[in-house]
Amino acid sequence: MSTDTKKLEGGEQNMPLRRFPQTLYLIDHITNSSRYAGTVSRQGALYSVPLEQFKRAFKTSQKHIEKEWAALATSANDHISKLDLDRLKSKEGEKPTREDALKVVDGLLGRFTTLKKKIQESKDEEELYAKRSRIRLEHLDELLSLPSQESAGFTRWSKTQLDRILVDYMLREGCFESAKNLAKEAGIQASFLQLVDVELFEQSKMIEDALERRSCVECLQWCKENNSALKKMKSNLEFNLRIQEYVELVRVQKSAEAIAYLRKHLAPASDIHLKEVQVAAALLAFEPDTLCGRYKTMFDESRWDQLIIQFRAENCILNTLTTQPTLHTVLQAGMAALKTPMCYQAENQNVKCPICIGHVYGALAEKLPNAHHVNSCLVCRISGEIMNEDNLPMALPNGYVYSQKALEEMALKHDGIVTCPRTGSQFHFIQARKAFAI
Amino acid sequence: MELLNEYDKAQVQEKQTRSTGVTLEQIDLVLQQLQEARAALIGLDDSTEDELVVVAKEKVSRLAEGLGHAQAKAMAATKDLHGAVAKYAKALDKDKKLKSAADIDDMWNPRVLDHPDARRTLHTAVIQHLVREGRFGLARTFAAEGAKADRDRDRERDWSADSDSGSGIEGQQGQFAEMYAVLAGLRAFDVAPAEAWVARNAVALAAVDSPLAFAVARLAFLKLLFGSPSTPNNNGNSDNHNSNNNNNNAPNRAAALAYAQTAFAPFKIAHLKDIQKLMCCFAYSNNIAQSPYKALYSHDAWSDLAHIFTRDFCLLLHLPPESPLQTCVSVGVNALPTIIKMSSILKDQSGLEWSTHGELPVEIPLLDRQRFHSIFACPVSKELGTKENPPMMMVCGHVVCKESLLRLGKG
Repeated sequence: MSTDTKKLEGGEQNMPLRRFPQTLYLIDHITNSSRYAGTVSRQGALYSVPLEQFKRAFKTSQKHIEKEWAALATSANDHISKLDLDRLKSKEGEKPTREDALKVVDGLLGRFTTLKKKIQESKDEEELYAKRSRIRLEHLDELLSLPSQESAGFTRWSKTQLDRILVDYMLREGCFESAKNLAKEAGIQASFLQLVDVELFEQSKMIEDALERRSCVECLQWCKENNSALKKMKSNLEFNLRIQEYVELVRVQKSAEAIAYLRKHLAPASDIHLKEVQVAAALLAFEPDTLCGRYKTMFDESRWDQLIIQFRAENCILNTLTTQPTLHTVLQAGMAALKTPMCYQAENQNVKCPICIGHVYGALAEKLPNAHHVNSCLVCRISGEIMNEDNLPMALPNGYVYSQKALEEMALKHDGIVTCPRTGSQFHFIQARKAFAI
Repeated sequence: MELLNEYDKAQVQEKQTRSTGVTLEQIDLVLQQLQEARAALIGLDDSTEDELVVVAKEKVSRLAEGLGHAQAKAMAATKDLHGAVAKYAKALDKDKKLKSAADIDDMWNPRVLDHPDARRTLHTAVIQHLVREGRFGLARTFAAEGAKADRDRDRERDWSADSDSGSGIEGQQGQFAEMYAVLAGLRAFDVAPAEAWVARNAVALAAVDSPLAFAVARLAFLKLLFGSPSTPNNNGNSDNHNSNNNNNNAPNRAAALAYAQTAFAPFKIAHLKDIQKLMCCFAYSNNIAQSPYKALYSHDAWSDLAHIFTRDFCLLLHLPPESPLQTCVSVGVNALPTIIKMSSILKDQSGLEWSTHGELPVEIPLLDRQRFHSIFACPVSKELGTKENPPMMMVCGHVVCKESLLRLGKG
């Protein structure tokens, strides 16, 4: 980073700027952008999640219609031609009976009924996610048609947004009751539930809980359902799960089962994971409490935690979710933007400032950078109002500065006497002098 | 809005409904054909075996055709839907304003909230927010579930030493329950709870020069005079109501006068002009709507009072008027595009890292009501005022910081 120099009034030169020089030109650009840029830019996942879910449901429907239906049609054809052949073959009067034909028809009936049910399910899912996408788009539309950030409509929208962020947070923390109750209370219309992805997180929690209980079954099922997407990501989660199941078999010394498992599930992956498969095979020769480095790590219980972490991460990528709860991201940004050194100084506490709440936000914000301010902005300690050309800053003889309006009000109520809230000293209003500090 | 329009243009919902309809229709057709075939087979007479075979073959082979047709139709509808979704997905992708999840994850993440202590503090913050919003049940539920989640996450730690956050909620709840009771009353145009609260806290309110006491008295008076806003205020019928109506929502001049005589006494000095205005209201007691004082008793007057009340209530309890979580999140949401932009620039500049110390590199614009501390930037040196380098006022009234002052003095 190069330091920049600036010619200042009064002939000052070579004053290094503490800040990145390039940022200066950007500030204008940013403030000129849409006033709702912040609110909109966070929303990517809001729309991509139901879209991904829709695409998944759609793929399933497509599979049913394209493959399974076609398969049934082919098998129907086969049976029919078989009927014919049977007839030709039969010499001893063994003609194809009505029963044979009926069997074919009944079989088809049964399988098509099942197919119908499956198609109905996936179509229902499609519908749900298509509707959900639209409701979320409408929600955003609502925001963009609001007049300003000061309007009552915006306050209401912000409250909904915060509720949505809180539900997302609670879901990720595993607090499902709270999340659902919050969603119920928050939604004036039932559509609030469409703004959050409760089912997604419930499903993930179920799989994570299973992994905690040392069961890979559910996760493997999930891998199967999302096979193509995982392959695209070049994920080795399924392989890792298989290895883990194998290790558990070896751990309890079920050698025969372990070897069978190795053959069935691990050997086929040798082309990609040869080394791991070889290590796994060799594992059979070791005891669970072995001290030999490489094999000790294979038996390590922490591998289960790794599986959970890997599942969580890949689940997020698959569903286009962020790995961090939105609340974390947004809160850190907000706290940094509000943080000043004064928040940690006892004499400068402002009851309205969140960061001044030492034991909560102050503590959280400790390691965050301070906000950056280029221009002066004076806040009156008495009224909390900004001091500007409509409300000039006025300095009392003791050096403290307050807003003109606040001092005038105070003087009006107390016969012209103003009391400095910081020191308690009293002065006459006339003694206050205008300060040009803006 | 663009995206919504794209979605509707692509007709995603319509095509989805159509494809569902067509597919299920076709499948039903197939099932029907199968049923017909079945019925036909069963209905056939046993004796005519050859015929049976022919008929059977015919029926069944027709089935195969039918299956094929039906499938083709369903497929067509599916393709249609696929096209619509692809269009929408493309529009979503193209929309530059929407950041995808991956981008945001890579962005600035100081990981301040990863530490278990920080996470528990965050739980506390959320619980406090819920209590502040009057959602006491929810706060309790979350406190319990959150504590369990903490314990699950961090099993080695000794949790018995931690105080039960439930008791914290009880305390806060008590405080806020009062506030919500009063606000509920005001929403129902009932001033009584507010009056009671003001009476209880008269001393504290006076100490902060709060306008609340008089505002409440004024509204109570106006309500007595004009009746509750929810009841229809019949012009010229107020006197008739008096005698028949026990309901204290009806306008009652005599009561209003009596009230004014007692309640306004403490405000004689400070609010003389206002009291005079209110007395004039008697002249308009039948048609406040035409008077110049109608603003004093509109629906807005009630919500304004609610607003002042909330503010003063929080002030007395040394609490911020807006939930701090809401403040931080609002600011954070607005700060994100700036931060994202900064991150991408810094990344391009050969991996300059965000430090978690010092300052953010760029200013985040804050609304006036989000400003809580004074910032002084010296007009001469652009440096911020600090304890070591305080702002100094010169005789002419202009303020620069100490260092600049000394430098100016040297010349």
